[in-house]
Amino acid sequence: MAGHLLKCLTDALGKFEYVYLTPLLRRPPTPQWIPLVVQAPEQLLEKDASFDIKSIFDGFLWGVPTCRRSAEKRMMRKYGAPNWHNKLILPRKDIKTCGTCGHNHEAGRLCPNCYSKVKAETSVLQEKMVQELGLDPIDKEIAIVYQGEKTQFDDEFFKGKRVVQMEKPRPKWFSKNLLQRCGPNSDVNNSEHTIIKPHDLG
Amino acid sequence: MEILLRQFQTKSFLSICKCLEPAYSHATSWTSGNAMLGKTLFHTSNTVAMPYNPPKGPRKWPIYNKKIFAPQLPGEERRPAYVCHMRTNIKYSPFKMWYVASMIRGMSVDEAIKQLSFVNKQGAVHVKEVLLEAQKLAVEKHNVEFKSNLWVAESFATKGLVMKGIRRHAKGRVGLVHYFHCHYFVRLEEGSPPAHFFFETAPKTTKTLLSEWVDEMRQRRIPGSL
Repeated sequence: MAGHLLKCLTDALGKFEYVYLTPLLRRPPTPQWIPLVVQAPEQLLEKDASFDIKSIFDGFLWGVPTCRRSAEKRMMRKYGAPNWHNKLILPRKDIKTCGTCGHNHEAGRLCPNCYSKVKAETSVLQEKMVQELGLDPIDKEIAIVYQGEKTQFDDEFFKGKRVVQMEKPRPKWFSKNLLQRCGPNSDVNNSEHTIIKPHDLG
Repeated sequence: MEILLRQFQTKSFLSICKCLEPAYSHATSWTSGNAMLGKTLFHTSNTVAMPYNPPKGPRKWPIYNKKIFAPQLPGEERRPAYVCHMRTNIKYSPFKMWYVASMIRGMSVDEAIKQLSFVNKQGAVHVKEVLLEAQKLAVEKHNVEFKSNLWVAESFATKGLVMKGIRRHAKGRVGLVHYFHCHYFVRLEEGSPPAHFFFETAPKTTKTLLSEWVDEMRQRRIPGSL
């Protein structure tokens, strides 16, 4: 019984040594009564002699910083570099003021204030079109006529077109003449096209 | 009573005003009970149903608006009007808000609002709102004639509430999550903005350049000499 107890104790000690001392010693613990017959070669001894303190981090202390962040690294993180990745928000020089409404917008883009008005009007027109034309096939052009405009167009204008009558007056910014070409390839001298004066544009 | 009256006589008008200021100070300082200023030592309402919630967050910034300056001397330059405004506990990180706050320093109010409209950050929305509020306050309450005649003298953000939460990681590990809030402070001053708000970014005059060059030349030494 005593022998069995002793064996249990020695096994427990051996297990303890194996679990907790192996990572620190970097070799399995050898029993003391076994003499070291084979002498380790000099190269191995030299290797063991130089113990790198930083090896304690390999699998023992994780997720902690090992070096202090230098001032340069900290500055680069916070401010970036001027001609590379600039983290500072610089004031923009490409903001223009819309001549029509006075709101600001990015250069090269439509004025959001003006566009929102156009968008609203478009949705109203679309609703009206759906209401009047329903689910019929789209085989003809649609002529949108605002309040008080029917008399300005002759019957030939409405030939082959589906008319959508709006109960509201035409918005000031919605030009009547949107179908005339006005680019470099336009033929201004053509008798079919007429030059409309600004006050007729609406 | 006589001693108190004498103190009032010797003290300046300003200090009297400070004494009579409403309770911006922390309420616990009044628990000692100062009957002279009309505070009672006992509660008159239910303290359990309506417990006392001490004021949280910054409170000193708007007090600068109430500051009364001494009358100016005849030849002195007119002191420009200013307005201090803030917004507390914005759900935004102070580290991120710093970029927005630092961008508008030294700009005129109109320019700042224009630029902020095109900054792609959540903090910019808050800063713009605060600027518009401050502009309105300046005109209505701080004797500023034109709302465009203002510039951003001070603009900064500080840490607010930080709520802590937990998140999962792989292999049963746990991580902390910080939900940051920030306070944003701005001071608008009347007048046109200065030509160069930051001394470092201002172009150097020929005089300073020359003096700096001369200093550099004079600092040269022969290495290894006595």
